[in-house]
Amino acid sequence: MDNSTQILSDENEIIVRSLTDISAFAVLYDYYAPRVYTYIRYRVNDINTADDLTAQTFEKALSSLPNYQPTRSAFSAWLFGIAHHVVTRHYRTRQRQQWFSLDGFLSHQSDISSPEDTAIRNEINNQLLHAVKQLPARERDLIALKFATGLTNREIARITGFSESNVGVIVYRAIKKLREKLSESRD
Amino acid sequence: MSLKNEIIRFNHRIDALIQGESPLPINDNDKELLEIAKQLAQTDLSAESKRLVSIRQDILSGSTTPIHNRHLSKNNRFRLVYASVASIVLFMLIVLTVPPLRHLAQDIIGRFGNLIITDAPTQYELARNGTPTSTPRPRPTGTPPGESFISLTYNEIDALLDFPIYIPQYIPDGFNFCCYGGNFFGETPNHALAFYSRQAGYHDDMLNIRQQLPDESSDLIEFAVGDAVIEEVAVNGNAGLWVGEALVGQRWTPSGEQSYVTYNFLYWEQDGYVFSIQSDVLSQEEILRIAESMVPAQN
Repeated sequence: MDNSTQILSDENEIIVRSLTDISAFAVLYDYYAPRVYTYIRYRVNDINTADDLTAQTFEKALSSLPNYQPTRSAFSAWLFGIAHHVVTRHYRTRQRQQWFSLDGFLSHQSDISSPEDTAIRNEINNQLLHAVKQLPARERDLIALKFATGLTNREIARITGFSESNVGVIVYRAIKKLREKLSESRD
Repeated sequence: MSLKNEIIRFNHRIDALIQGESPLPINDNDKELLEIAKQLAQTDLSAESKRLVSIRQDILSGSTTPIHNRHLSKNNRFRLVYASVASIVLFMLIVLTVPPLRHLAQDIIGRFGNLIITDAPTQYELARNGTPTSTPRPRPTGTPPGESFISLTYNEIDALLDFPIYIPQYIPDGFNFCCYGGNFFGETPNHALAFYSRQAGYHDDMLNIRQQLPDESSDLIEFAVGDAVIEEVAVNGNAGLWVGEALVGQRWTPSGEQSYVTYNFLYWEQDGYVFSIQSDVLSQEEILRIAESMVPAQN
């Protein structure tokens, strides 16, 4: 995936047009949807949830677009801030619901038995995703923000509330852990 | 080089990598880490999604008028919030003070640890009766909704917990142990949740057993069971609660049709733990037999 931080060349113009012309928002969607999905998918374990949360992120972005202020942050940082919030809220809700275990069980069934889940992803993605899944929630979030979004450590710090240097430390340690987990899985 | 400087320089190289450059590793260790970072940066998981196109259509088709016209000004938003709060307070006053309406207030059926079981209608009962709820939309793939889930072996969950795990000595025929699981959010877990299943059509029969260490500081969690069959039972001499045929689930057939599912639950407290057993097929007799066979694992 091209994760370069380059933005759409006429992004600000497209955002302004999106306020009055919904078809302009489609350009933003087409550009950012794969990255938003990948970010969310790093943080949740199943495809359906990733789809749902991607949809929620763009619905929220669309409805909040009039409040977006380009002088305060880049559009990508604003959008991934929404995605971060959507996933965090999802987990809070699930944390309350996990007592009942229904969805956990069902999701596990789908996680282990869904052929689409294994057929589509290639082996490298599988291994990597499996290793990322084993990271603690905080590290998983930062790895997802760092590599799926192309945001800087400073932008990630704004979204997560960590200091910029702390983001760097957590990312570094998380990658070292990933190396260990990938090494274990290959042995 | 200090660790701090090493981390700063490593992050600079990652940033360069994300920008499409090829930073030179400073040693073998660095090379391995950069290789993983490169894999992460190049991974595009969006190809696995089958709904990005339909999500696009949904979002675009739902919005034909200019966005800024569809939104309230800040003042109007505050007015709406105040009006909503006032309406809720007024409604609660009416419900709690007018006798004929008091029955609308839900009753608490039981409490186990921080779990409160009430007879409020379940969201699936409301959905079945046509009351608008936040029930998820049916999914075209035929797979059910999910949550992030960690699958663990007995040894893995045992290493995480600082209390002995209770193991059932009786499990009905055909059920196989799958795993322990849950979503621990990076925190130390305070429960063990064991999953068993039995092959049966496109959705396996399910059985799960949960052992929870009560945590007084946790928020109370309400579990609405609606019109479920409630019965007080005894488990090894401890007070338990049977919640039968609670309409608290839904499934999708392979063709994408939605159906509602009832579950049976048994809750009880024993030896300082809260236990629950849940199944979509097992009878009260079978579940009680499982419950009474639970003993701490001997490591």
